[in-house]
Amino acid sequence: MPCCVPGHDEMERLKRRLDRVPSLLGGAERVLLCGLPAADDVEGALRAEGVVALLSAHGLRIQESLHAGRATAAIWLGGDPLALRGLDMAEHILLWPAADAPVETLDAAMALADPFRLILASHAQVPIPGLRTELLPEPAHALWGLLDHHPRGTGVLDLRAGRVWADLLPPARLSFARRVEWLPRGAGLRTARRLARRRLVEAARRILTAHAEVETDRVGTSVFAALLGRRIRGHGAAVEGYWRAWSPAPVRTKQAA
Amino acid sequence: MSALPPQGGPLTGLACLILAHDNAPPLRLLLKILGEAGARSFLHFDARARRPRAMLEASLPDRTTLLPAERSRRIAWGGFAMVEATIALMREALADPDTRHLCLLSGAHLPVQPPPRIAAFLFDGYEHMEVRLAAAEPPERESLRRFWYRGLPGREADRLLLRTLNRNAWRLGKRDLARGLRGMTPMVGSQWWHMTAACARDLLGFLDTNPWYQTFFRQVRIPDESFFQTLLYASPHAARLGEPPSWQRIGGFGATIIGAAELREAQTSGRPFARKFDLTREPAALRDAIETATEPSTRRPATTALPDGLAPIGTPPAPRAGEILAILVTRNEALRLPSALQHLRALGVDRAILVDNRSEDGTREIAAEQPWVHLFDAPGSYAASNFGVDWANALLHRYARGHWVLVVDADELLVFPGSGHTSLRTLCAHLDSLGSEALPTVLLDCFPEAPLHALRFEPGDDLVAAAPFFEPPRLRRERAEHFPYEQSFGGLRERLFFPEADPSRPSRLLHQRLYNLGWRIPPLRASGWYRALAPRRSPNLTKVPLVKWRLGARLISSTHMLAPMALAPEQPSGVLLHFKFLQDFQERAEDAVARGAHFDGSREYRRYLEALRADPTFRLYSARSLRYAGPDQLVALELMRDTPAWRVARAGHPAAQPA
Repeated sequence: MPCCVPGHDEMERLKRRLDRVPSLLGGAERVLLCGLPAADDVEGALRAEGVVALLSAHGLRIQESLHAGRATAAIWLGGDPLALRGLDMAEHILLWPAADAPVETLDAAMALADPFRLILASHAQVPIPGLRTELLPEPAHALWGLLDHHPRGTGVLDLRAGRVWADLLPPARLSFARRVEWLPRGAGLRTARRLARRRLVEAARRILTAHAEVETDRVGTSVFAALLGRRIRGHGAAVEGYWRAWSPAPVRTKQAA
Repeated sequence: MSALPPQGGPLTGLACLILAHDNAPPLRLLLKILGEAGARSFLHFDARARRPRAMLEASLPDRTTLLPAERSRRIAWGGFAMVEATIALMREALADPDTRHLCLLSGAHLPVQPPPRIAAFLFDGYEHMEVRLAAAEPPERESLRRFWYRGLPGREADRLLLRTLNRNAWRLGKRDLARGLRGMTPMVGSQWWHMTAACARDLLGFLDTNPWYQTFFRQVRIPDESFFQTLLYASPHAARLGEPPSWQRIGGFGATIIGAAELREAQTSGRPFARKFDLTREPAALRDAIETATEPSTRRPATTALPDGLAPIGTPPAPRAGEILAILVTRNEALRLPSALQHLRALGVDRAILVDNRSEDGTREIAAEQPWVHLFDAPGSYAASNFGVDWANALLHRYARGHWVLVVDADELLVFPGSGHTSLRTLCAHLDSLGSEALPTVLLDCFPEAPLHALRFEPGDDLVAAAPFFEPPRLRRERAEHFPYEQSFGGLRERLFFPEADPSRPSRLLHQRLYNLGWRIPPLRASGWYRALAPRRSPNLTKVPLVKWRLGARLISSTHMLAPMALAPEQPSGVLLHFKFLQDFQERAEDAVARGAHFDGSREYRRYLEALRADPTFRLYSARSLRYAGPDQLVALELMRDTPAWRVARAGHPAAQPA
């Protein structure tokens, strides 16, 4: 099956589009990240790292615990919707779930927060009455140009349904990430979490760069492959819809059997 | 500074910024050739190179400015002083109001083309710089490591301690590039570049207001290969990037010394300068070779010469930044051209390029009356030029990069949502804000109520008033391999002239299925006779006439198919009103069939002619026809798309009156 990879200029364009996020947060200087992905979720870790890179690039301070500072805006990354409870201090809440996140999770999140403060980041213009929607690509695009594309491997990495990152990653990295979840709240938690996420992403990057192409039915993995300049063999409506929306060159896809 | 000779020479306006060490002989030759061609040179000598500096100062060539010794830096290989010296030279050069271009060279550079050719290469409005993604560089070229890990300047090959320290810099940890570069993407490329004065002023302005940028790069290894590349790529000037101006041969970890033997290769690269020359190796031979190569008499035709004898008649276009262009390929279009030009001007087109293919009806005279229209003679064959596509591509690459450009025929009028009271400039600005590079449209045939031969349309009349009817097409969309990856078929012409192209007909379905079966056999697929058996299609109704032209943009099949361009998920689209059906239709069809110059041996026109000959009172109007009532009607018929964002954008920008 033919496969495609977005060009450098196209990836740069997607990265620049994310520059509108700070203005969506109402000029907040400190931003709370909530609804973080599970500790061993590689695609979630990549998204979280993308948001961290984006906010750092604009000089915004980041907190990952509700009690760690005085954030005036929050970004919910599609994890546990209950994380949206108690965000009274946040004047703006950006809901930024994964492009292929289940609708139920988003519905649950929207039910838990004041709709007047909510902004939904979406990769497709789906008007929801009473909710401001902003067209944004995946936050991982903020990492464009910051991940090493080498060493260049060969062959196809098959990450279609049934094959998950956890089967490929070193067990030590996964267990480290899971243990960090259980650390007591306090000093060092954010650093430890971030270190675990980075180690997870780096391990996945090494696996990905050892291949020339990636075959996947998940948007997160296809974005990861694009960030590393790898060709994408997309499967399924989610990947096709995402790249059709954001890329001028089509990523050829076929429906999953 | 030496006394300046009178202005003149092909390189007038060029300021060459030269970073020199101790290689005086080639430097003197470089300064001589540049000065004679009208360029000014601004020279920085390494603070340690006192003797060569004194020698040059004693007899400074004309049009050369030497940066004072107190402003000279001690240059260490891979250190930030090289960048500081470059910035100092840029400021010095831009203090001269006549400076329009800056070119960064080393003392080991020499020109390898005649000055007019150098001018043609450099003065094309592009920023000539090599810009590559650092993350995609191989590890031996330091990749992102030069940004991640702090390094001490100097040549590691000669110094063990330096090498050891730099090789262990990773132990200090990676720098946070997202925070350090504030979202810019790390880029690398050759140190030697050329940029326009406007671009250089913008970059220096940024550096003045953002001191953090220089602070960050002070700890980047080999910053001279990334400082300007990263900055330029993050600026709007990145839309106009051209080939770097310097040729060099890379061997091992850097540029190798070249001489007369490599001169031929350097010249054929088309680049104006080459390095690293060492004049002490073969002084006489190299000097002679360089002087011969840069003689104007040895000038060869430019590599970017227009194809097929295409040549401007009168002043060639020199579009200013931000202008909207239009390009039309015409042949005997005197009837429609005045109305088409009026429409373009009313839309807000600033400049039009008209490529005329041997018109004999006064088309050229009409174009010549308009100062904003630039006429090009296309003496070649229309069919051999891929139906005008090669001509349009060549002219667009030369004149339209970085501009929005409308590629239309003289019988096509663009309408888009709100086009009656909104200028094209507002639409382009809106597409820019969405990150879109193109406006897709549907071609809609317009016709009069009366039989065609009874129409009395005069040049300059309103095309819409003369042929105000159209038939709402039931569009059939098919996937295509090229952008915009979908083509529309159907409508009036298919119904009347190509009924067999309707895929719902059983015979057509069977033909297509059988053809698809044969297509699976590679030898059949490769043969021309087999492809000729493909089921014929009706005229393609998809066109993308409005595009933001850039490097890599290309028309493939008229404006039906292009090289990939960006489209935003929620953006407006348009309609091209098509006025093919006027009183001259039969005459034009006969001419097209006689010449066979159109697609597929003018098959489409043969069909038209058959219908006209069968019924001389042929008319297109029927009970299905609707009278055109404006863009809103086309939006309501779902022939073009309006969006809430575009409604908001145009509400605040009424149409600008054309100059």
